[in-house]
Parts: sequence; structure tokens; C-alpha cells
Amino acid sequence: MDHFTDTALIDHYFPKLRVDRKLQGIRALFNLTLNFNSRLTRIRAQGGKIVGINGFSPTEAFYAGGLIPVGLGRSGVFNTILGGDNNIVKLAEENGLKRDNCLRLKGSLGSLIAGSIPLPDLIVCAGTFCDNQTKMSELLTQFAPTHYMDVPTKVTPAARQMMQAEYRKFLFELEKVVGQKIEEKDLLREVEIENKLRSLIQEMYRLMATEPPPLSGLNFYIAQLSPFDWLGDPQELLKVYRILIKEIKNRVIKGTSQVSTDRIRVIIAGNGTINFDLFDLIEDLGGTVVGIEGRYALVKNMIDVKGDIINNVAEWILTFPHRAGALERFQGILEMVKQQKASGVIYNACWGCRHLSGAANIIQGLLARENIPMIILDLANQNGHKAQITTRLGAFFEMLQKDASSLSKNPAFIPMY
Amino acid sequence: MWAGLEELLKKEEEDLSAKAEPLIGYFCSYVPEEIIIASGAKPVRLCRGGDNYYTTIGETYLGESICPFAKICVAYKVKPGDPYFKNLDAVIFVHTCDAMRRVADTWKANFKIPVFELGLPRVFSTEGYNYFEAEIILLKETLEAWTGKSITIDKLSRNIRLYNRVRKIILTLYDLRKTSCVEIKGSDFARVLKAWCYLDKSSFLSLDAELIKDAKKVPFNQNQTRLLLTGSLVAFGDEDFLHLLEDAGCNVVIEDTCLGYRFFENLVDETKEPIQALAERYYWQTPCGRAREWEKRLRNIRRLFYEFRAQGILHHTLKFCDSYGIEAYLLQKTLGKDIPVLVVDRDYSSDLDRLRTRIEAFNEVILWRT
Repeated sequence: MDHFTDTALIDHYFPKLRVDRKLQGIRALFNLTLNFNSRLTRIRAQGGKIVGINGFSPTEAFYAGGLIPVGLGRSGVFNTILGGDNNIVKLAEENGLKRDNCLRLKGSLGSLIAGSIPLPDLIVCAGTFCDNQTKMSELLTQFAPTHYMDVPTKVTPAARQMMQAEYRKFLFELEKVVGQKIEEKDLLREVEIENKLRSLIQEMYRLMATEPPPLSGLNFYIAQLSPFDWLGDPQELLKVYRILIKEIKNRVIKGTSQVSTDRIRVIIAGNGTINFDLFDLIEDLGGTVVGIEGRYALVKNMIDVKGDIINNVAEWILTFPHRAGALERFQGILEMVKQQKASGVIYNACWGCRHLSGAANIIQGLLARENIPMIILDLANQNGHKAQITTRLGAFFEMLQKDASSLSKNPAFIPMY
Repeated sequence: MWAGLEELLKKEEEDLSAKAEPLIGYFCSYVPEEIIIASGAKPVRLCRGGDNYYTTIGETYLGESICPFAKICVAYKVKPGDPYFKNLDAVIFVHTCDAMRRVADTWKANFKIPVFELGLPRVFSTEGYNYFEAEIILLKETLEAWTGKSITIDKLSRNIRLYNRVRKIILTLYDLRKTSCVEIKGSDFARVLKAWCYLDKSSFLSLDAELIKDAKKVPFNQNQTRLLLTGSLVAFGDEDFLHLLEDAGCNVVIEDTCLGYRFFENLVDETKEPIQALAERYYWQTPCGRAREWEKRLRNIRRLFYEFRAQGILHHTLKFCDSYGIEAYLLQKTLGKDIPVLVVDRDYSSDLDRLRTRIEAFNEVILWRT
């Protein structure tokens, strides 16, 4: 299969979705995502070792050790989207998760139990910022050896020391799977490759800040969905992203964006796992997504390549906004709104996520003080909610079409859940 | 039982607004009160629950899908109803579960009151201890700056000794609960816990003899089934839940909750440097459910079950609590094979009568087994 040209998988799984088939880079990323499981199974059969990731994790160490990092959450979500199989949710609920736990985690656990991804040699729960993930890591030990990397919630000298120690422990566990030491020079090499990927995605964000944006929201989302947990060899992915960025730049230069100029620009904040349908819905309602805050977190900062590389990766983990409280998260969202020239924020609270839903009202109130409207959507990663959110989003976009600054002075505009 | 406690608590509330020293509230068992007192402030552990009206107020700030205890932690600051919340001068939060971290964020964003925060790891290791000890030192320095008073080694040592003495009194009461000589109801013991949270510890000392004497008065009731309560704490204002258990023929003889045995169990080492001693004692206590320490917690639950001669385990989860909700499964899968375990998932709007049937049935199962 030629990932750059083939559209058979896209036509099969998403015949109605507005995939930007004109861009080689997008075709390649969709194909890599859609045939990810079959390629992974083949590699496993050839002796490749898989590490399952629950949570956010810097993946450089996996590649440095010759391991394949697979995001359990992404795999779980795709299993649901592609197969429409809600049985994995039921499996997860029968094996420890509750009905009110977040669907993303249920997708992860259910997929593992259902065997829809090859069983990992090691599961790493890294960057675990929430209770759901922490407690689920205790359930995961039933299926494969599991390592938990704790991340301090504050950034202080002592917190840094703890993070460095945690990262070294994490490397030690990986080395047990690999069977040999992960050399710092190999880690540095992978950091440099991933930094290049980050740099390309940052470039994509800068291009998306233009008017009109060169990509529609859906394609923009796919383009940053999983550049780090495994879609393919990182060097190969770099080629895909270079081609994609070049194609997007050409659109900006030639003014040939597929997105019209009259669209209301919004960013999606909160949970970075988003149902594809939402983007088409936003388009139908007159909007376009120009930023995804939860995804940008992975590429916003580079890992410093000078000095002690292990400590530098540990330092980078501490920059994740997901570690922080609502007030810090608000700052990141505000920066993105200004950077991407958005008019409003769609906050994906994600049912079952206390971390995000508890912060929603605070962030909404703080954004209101900055004259930035925000709508809170409690999305599940299933199509069933489409009818429910259509009316609310429609009202939100109508509101955005009016003057946003006059709305915040309106006493009726009170941050309420 | 313990009428003296009630009088003291009532007087404490009445005198609250006239108190000269600042009032610092906290919610979590990882906060060393000894440091707060040494700064010249009065510590109070805020632990309200049970009231669904306040839950709905908290929901407007935190959203629906957060535990009711967390909602109430916000609500009592919004709407007067508790003199301690009303008279607070500052508050300390520990970075424990997601819900309480969002409560901390809500307080910072909405209420004009200093909020101090303590970081806490999820895995209890040596590296994590160093981080926690640094946080304790930071808390000490912050309180010194805020109160304008120095927290000296002398003051800390004195308060450590005082608190250890009070802990010993409570541990003596716990020892009585292990026996078949006296009957201490869980709902009565909740008064002792409330007194710890609100009273000056020196008042507690004055009650020492009376507390033990009163406890020995009520003869043992062998018809009550002995339960270990684990999971979410039963907050003040939610005592109806304990009464329900007692009416159904059960009695909580030991609480493995955040306001339970592990909060008192170990004394602070009086021979060590005070900050180190406090950090060690608070850090290495049996962790709560939000930690990634299930094996440690399981061993502790098993130990307490046998030490307190319990006959069954009641796992109490407040709705939307992820930590204890997932632990319920782990508990049933492990201890549940040999020991009767009942999982109760509730919020403050629950009709307690519906629970009564389940608890009565659980009691029957236990009695049948014995």
C-alpha cells in the first residue's frame, strides 16, 4: 500500500467524513492510523516488543530502546470508532472500571481485554495526571507487567528531583524489557527526531493562525493526533510531516485553502480525544477549529538537547498543562486563543473526567473576564450525543457571530455549568 | 456517651468569632496540625457532609460529576451554614484526588482567602518523601511569613508532644473497640473524631479520664455485627448513615477512612528533628485510596479486619469517587473471596431506607456464615 496515494481505507471506513483527500500528507496520516493495528501485529509477529502507554509519555526512550510505544487510549478509541464495538466499554466495566469513569480509559482497558491490540510486553502509566489513570494502572497489572511513573503536581526544586528520579526508574524498567541499557546518546538521537516533529507541528499551528486556515478542523486534528505514540518509524513520520507542511504552506501562499473566509474560528480545549463527527458538525454550524489545546501540549515545548538529556526529558514532562491546576490550564488556553486568533473556546469536558469537568466552570469564568466565550461540552467518544450537542453548539456559534465583548457585560452571561 | 465533648464543641462554636488567633482550615490527613499551631494559628479540619442542599450549591461551581463531599467543601464557603467555614482566615489544600484539587482551584478563583497548597506524590517512595519533606518546610516558611511569627523548634517539639498525648487517648479508645468488653458505637465514636477536628487539643487532654470512663460504661452488645468501614469517609452531618447501620444490627468498630484509624495510628517520633519527624510520620501513614498503593492498603485492611475482630467489610463509596470506586472491584476480587464485603455507592441525596434492605441482607449473610 502506498500511504500517500491510496484512499481505499479512508473510503471504506469514513465515506462521509470530510477528509482532505487532496493532501498527500493527510492521506498518509489517515492510512497510517487506519492500518496501524495490522502493521503492529505484523511487527509483533516478527519479534518486535511493544510497550503500551496509558497516559501521556515522552516516547523517545521507547524508540531509543528499539521498542514500539502504543497509546492504549488511542487504540481503544479507534477500535470503538472503526468497529463501533461498544462491547469494549462493557468489558472494561466488568473488569474494574465503573459506569462513570471516563470513556477513553474504558476504551483502553476494554481493547486490551478484547485483544484488539497485541498484548504489550510492558504497560507504562506515565504522566498520570488523574485518579482514573492512576487507579486503572492498578487494574492493568492483571494483564501485563505495569510500571507507573509518578509526576509531581508542582514545579519546585524538590519536585524536579523527584521527577528526575521517576524518569530514571522508568528507563530502568524499559531496560528490563529491552534486555540492555538504553544509552544516553540513543535517547538524545530520538529526542532530536521528536523535536523536529514538534517543530513541524508548531509550524502547522502557525499556518493555522492565518486567515483562512489552510486545513479544516478534522484534518488538522488527524495531523496531530498521534505523532509520538507509534504510527510508524519516527524518521518515516518526519517525511510525512515535511510533505504535509509543504502542502499546507503552498495553500497559504497561493490562497487555495479549502476553508472559506467567513468561518468562526474556535479552539477546542480540555480533553484532546475528540469524536471526528464533531469537526464536521462545527463546520456545518459555520465554524472551524484552529487549535486543539490538549494536543498542542505535546508539541508546545522542545526538549532541551544540551546538558543532561535524562534530566531534560524529566523537565519537559513537568511542562505539561495536564499536571497543573485550573488556573495554569486557563493561561495556556488563553495563549492559544490569542495565538490562533480564535473567537471562542469549545471545552471538551469528557464525561467521567473529574480533572477536566471540575475545572470547566473556573476556566469559563476566567475566559469571560477576557471577553472570550466558552461552551462546555460533556462529550463521550460515541456518536450518540450528536443530536444533543447540535442545538447547544448552534446557539454558541450564533452567539459568537454577535459581538463577543458586549456579551460579557450582559448580566445574563454568568458562568454556569 | 461523651456528653462533655458535646458541651465543649458547642462552646467552641460560640467562642469562634471572638478568637484572637487566625483560623486555618484544612481537609486532608496529610496536613501536620502541629505546624499550624506552632505558627500561632488555630487549625480546624473541615469535614462536612450529608446535606444535599449544599451539594447542589457546590454543583454550580464544580459541575455534576464530582463527588458530593467535594461539592460541599465549596458550598459551605458560598452559603453560610457552618461557623468554621465562615470564620476561616486561610485554608490549606493537599494535592490529593482530582476532586479536591478542583476544590482548591475553585477556592483560589472565587474566594478572597489565602490558599496554601501541599504537593503529595501518588506513590510513596524515598524520592517522593524528599519532595514531601520539602513541601512541609515550604508550608512552615509560608505560615511564618503569613502569621509574622517564627515557628521555632521548641514550639514544634511542644506541640508534637501534645498531639502525641491526644493520639494516645484516641488509640486507647480504639483499643477498647477491639474488645468484647464494651460497646462503642460508630456513631458515638464519630463525636470523638469531630472533637479532634474542632477542639483545642489541650481541651482534649482535660477529658482524658472522662472519655475512657464513659466508654467503659456501656456493656458489650453481642448481637451487633462488627463491621470494618473502608472507602470514602463519613463526614459530619452524615451520621444518619451510621445510625442506619446500627438500626440494621451492625456496628462500625473500625474506620479505614481518611478520618479513621490511619489518621491517628502512628505517633510522631519525639527524638528526631521536628520537621523531619513530622514529615516522616505524615508521609508514611497508610495511604488513602487516591494513591497508587493498593497492595499496601489491602494489607492494612486485612490487618485491621482481624485486629478489630470484624465480621464483615463495608466499602463506602461516594458517587463519582474514582479512587474508591475502582478499589471496590479490587477489594471484592481479593478479600471478597473469604470475607463478606458489601459495596455501597451513594450520594447525599440517597434515600437511606433503600440501603437499609441491602445492609440488613448483608447482616443476615454474615450471621449465617458465623
